[in-house]
Amino acid sequence: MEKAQISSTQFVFLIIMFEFGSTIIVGMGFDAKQDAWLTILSGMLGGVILYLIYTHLHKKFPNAHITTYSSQLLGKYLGYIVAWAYIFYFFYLSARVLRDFSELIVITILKETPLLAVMLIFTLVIVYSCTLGIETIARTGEIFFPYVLGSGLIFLFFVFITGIPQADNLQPPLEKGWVNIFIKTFPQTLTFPFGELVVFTMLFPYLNREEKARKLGIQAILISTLFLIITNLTILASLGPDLAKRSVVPLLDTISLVNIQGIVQRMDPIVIIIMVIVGVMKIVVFFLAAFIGLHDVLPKLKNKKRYVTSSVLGVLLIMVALIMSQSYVEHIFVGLEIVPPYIHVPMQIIIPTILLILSFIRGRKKEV
Amino acid sequence: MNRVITKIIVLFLLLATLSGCWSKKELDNLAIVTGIGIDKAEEGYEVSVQIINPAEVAAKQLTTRTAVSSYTASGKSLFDAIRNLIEVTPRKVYLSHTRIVIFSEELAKEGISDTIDFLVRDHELRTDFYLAIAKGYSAKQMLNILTPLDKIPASKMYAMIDNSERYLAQTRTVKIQKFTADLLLEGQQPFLTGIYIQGSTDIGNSIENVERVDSPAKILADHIGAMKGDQLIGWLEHKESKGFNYLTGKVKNSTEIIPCKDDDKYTSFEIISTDKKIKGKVKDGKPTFTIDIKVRANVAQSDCELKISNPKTLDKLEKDLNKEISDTASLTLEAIQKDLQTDIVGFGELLHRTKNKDWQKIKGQWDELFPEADIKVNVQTKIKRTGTITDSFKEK
Amino acid sequence: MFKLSSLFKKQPVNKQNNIPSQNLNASLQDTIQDVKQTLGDSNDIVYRPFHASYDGSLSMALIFTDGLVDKNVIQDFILRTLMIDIRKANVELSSKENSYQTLKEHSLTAGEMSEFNTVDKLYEHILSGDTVILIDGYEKAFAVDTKGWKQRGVEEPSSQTSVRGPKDGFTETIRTNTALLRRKIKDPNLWIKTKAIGKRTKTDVSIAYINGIADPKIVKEVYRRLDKINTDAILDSGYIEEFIQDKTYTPFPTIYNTERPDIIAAGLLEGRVAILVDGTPFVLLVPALFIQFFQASEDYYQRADFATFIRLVRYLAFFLSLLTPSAYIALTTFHQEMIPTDLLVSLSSQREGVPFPAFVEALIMELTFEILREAGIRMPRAVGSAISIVGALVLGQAAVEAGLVSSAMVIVVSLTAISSFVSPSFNMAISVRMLRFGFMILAATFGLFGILIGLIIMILHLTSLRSFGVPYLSPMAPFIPKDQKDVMLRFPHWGLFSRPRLINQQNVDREDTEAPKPSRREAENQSVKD
Repeated sequence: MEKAQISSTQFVFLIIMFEFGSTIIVGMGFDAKQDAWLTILSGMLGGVILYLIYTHLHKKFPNAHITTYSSQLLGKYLGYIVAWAYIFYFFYLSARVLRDFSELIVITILKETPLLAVMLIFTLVIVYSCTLGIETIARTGEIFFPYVLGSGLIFLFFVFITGIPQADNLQPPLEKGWVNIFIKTFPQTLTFPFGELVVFTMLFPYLNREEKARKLGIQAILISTLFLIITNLTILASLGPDLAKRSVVPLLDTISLVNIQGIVQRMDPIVIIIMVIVGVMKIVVFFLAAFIGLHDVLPKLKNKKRYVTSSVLGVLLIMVALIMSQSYVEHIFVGLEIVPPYIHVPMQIIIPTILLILSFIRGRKKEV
Repeated sequence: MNRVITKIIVLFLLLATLSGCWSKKELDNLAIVTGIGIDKAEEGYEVSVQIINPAEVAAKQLTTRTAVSSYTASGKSLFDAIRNLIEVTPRKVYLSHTRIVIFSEELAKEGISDTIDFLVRDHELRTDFYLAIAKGYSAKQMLNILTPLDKIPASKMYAMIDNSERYLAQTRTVKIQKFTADLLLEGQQPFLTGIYIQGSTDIGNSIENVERVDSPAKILADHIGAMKGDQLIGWLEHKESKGFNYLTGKVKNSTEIIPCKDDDKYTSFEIISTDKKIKGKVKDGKPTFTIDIKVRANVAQSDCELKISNPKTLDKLEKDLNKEISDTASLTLEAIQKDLQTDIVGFGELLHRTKNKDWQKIKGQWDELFPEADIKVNVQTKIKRTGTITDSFKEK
Repeated sequence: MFKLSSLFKKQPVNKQNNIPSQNLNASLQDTIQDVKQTLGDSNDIVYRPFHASYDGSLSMALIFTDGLVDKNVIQDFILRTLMIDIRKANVELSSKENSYQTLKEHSLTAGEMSEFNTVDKLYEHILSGDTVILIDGYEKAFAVDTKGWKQRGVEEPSSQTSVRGPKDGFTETIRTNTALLRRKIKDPNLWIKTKAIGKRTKTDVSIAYINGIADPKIVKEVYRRLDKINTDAILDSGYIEEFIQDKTYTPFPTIYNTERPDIIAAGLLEGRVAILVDGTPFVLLVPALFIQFFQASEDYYQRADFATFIRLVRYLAFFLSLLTPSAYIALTTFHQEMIPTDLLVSLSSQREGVPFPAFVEALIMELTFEILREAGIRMPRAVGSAISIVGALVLGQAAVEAGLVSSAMVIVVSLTAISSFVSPSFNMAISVRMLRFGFMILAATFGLFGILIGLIIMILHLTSLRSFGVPYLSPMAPFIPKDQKDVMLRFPHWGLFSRPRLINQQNVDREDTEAPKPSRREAENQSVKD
């Protein structure tokens, strides 16, 4: 394990950017129409519970990744399989987000550019940052975060100055009742983005004050929920629930409405750029988790140079991202309809819960 | 071995960058479109675009060439038609700077949702252009009028629609996002701005139009086209349009005139702000609405014998204004409820938002219920200031 | 086949011509012969045999290099003493042991003197301007410091000027430079240690730091890295810089250099270590952080609010000079929707008839400008004005009129150029100049997205850099709230009470002055008087 340290601030920033990740492209819970923000809220509650499971596991096994303690709890073979499953899971998600953002770029600003070229240049950044290691990534996040947050707030401010959002669009609340909200929350908003925090089980050991992981993480979840809700409400109030649901990139459509006296307008590419920063952070976190997991499972890899391993992984990443779906529609459909119930739920909820229960049982056995 | 791999990867990446520039569009290869006009063709659509001649617009010397050119092509769908433009335009059509999209009245009456789909879906088009219907003309004719002062006619139209909403309230600006939102709502019907030409379209077409002090052909913005679904079903007249703006609380600045006792002299007011509040309920299956309009006005001109310095006079004037404005509003209500029978104010949507349970029961029959709805208008005017003098000069 | 890697492979070092470190020969004649032979009879070496003591029994010789020594010192304090004063005073120089001791302790009146007994030292002293006194029959010799060559006086530094603040600059002489530092910091803890580096040049390199403030780990690291240098020649501090920096392949400087003693003094007081090299006015300062290259010494002499404003302008200029051409390319070839219609029309009318794509146009203009700038630096001063004529008229106006480039591009290039001159340190300006071209290529391929990718890579690279163990981007990443007082902003001096944390961890408190407040008494008196 590389000796690296992430400070508390860096950790919080990393989680917030991670949570924003691809949600700022596809939006969250717009199926629930004007109550989308309520699904975020209920998703957040579930997310906090999941996060508590993850930190509790980490508390039981400090200095270890989920790929390490899975074999301690499940036995050598089953644990090995679970560890590999997580590595593939993180890697797959990394490729997913890479595809998300490459598609975003191709749809919006670089229409004639081949997807492969965009992916290549993304992967260049990802491989480079993976080579440099978690510490550098955390610091880079620290540098970018204020700018991302600041520009995000400025954009929202512009939206309000222009007077686009209309409270009417948010009415009537709870049109279809609470049940509908919970249906929309589970599994979608719960697993994406909140449950995806399972990736941080790979990063907890690098915190310079590991014992604060729980407190910091929950703080970060709360902050990001706040921002997600603000963004979500602004989109809903600006576009109206029907358009928000139809739009491919709702936030972009909202901000493209900004026009202040004909001076402040036409900022779409800048918005996309800001989104990309957040997206890169998310891809890198997943990629790094897979990378760390791989080194954990195959200790022999440590003899190889870091950049070689990450380059090979990077090439694989592009291939997976290219092959995973034929079109953007298919990609989004799979991402929102198939991945949450069949992949996210077992990896984010079921396995960690089983691990937690096992650790309790084992702890009790030891006491006896 | 490792080194070889890295070298190959680096080379690969370098190649990718160098052979790039896929999405590149050089400025001098773009035909910048400022206005799009959509007419009905025998089969499908006929599209006219107004394209800037940059050298003429930016020219410091006077030239005899026009600042814009227009091109027309037709196709089975709007997209098809726009692609077919490439046959006639010398450069690639670039739509991001479109200021206005004009539909012909004929097309609007048949329905425009098919064209709206392209306008929303295409990413090159932004969302900041205005939609308008050419009242009584074809969209092509509208785009072929040259305008003085502003060298680009589409920009001129954009500014004109903007100003007439802001200072006269005789029309309403409609952007695509507003239009599509209205189209999708169950309790709201969309509406569009009307524009038309005054004068000869033949001269308007040539540079002669901008060579005279008084241009023979002018473009004007007035009237609001009421739609039902995506079809134009009729026009609100000048006064009705203003009433519509009162009902929707969008009068930012406008004028009202009130006659003196009996002669043909008037007191004029500048409306400085309005505010509306609609309350709706369903009673025995019959929807009723109360609209409170709050108006603030300044005295702009008075030709009557009025002692304006006396608060009582102001009270009386306020009452007259109340009546005048509520008459205007009633006129509009009459038009949309009885003649056009389309809910462009959004009364149904109001019920949906505030009285959702009742709405769910009646939303199926809203089209029949709306014309029968009982709508009351209360206007409350407050005269704030009287300009730099108080009593009029007639008052001695 | 020629192998690329052979460029970096070291050939076995040729060890000929190295002076063996043997002991001195006792015979005066033999030693002089040896010296003559080794130095190839160079005629700037002066041999002056003479006899001392009143009976003339002790034969001695002076060897020194003409031009490097102050001849007055030799005449007054060596020759006069040994040949005349000694007789007058009747100093006993009879016995062999005795005479050496007496000479050393009672006779020679020179101030700085040392004795040595090896051959390599002999040459080192001769060649560095000392006068060597050889005495027949002894295997030891004296070296008297008689350095006194023609040197440049202390002048205003030419590379970093300031409106307000000290105007003295370092010179080529290391002694003068250390003296300049001593004059600013009269603290016994200012320690200066010197060692010679370079097998042939034997350049004096001094390490200066304030003991108790500088981090001992960093000081140790500096020594370790300097000790590792094994080279022929050190002709400028630039040599040292390349030998000791943390990472060679980076466009960013990780070692600060300056001609200004006030900057070095301030750096020492913050806990940094200065490396002075004889023969160059440029002094190195480590560890160097990214933000340091945006801080001018004048920031601390001007009012705090103004200094803050200027600093923000500098950061702005940094990004302008880095990104203006690439942003222009990205906007005009990829994101025309971002340009307001009127501006777009005017830009595209300018581009009508320009034969090159925007990227090539920008590349040509930027390269031309770089050539112009290099020409301006290298060409003889006398023809300097020709550059401005060629630059302004021929390449600017005429190129636009001929329709080769658009006038907007000329504006872009000028803006870039002007912004790059703002940087208070030349190093950072150079890295920006290089990176700019990379960003232009990225912008021409991927538009703003490419620029962003470039920026992310740049920041990743910057955060991975360290200067003597200190993260290069600190105190921004890792974020140190206390140190923000002197990054983008410049707090008033009473607010800068702590030293940068990562550079100095043991002695953090700088000062404890309260913010000045007008004394109420005085204010009242004032109002009474008025």
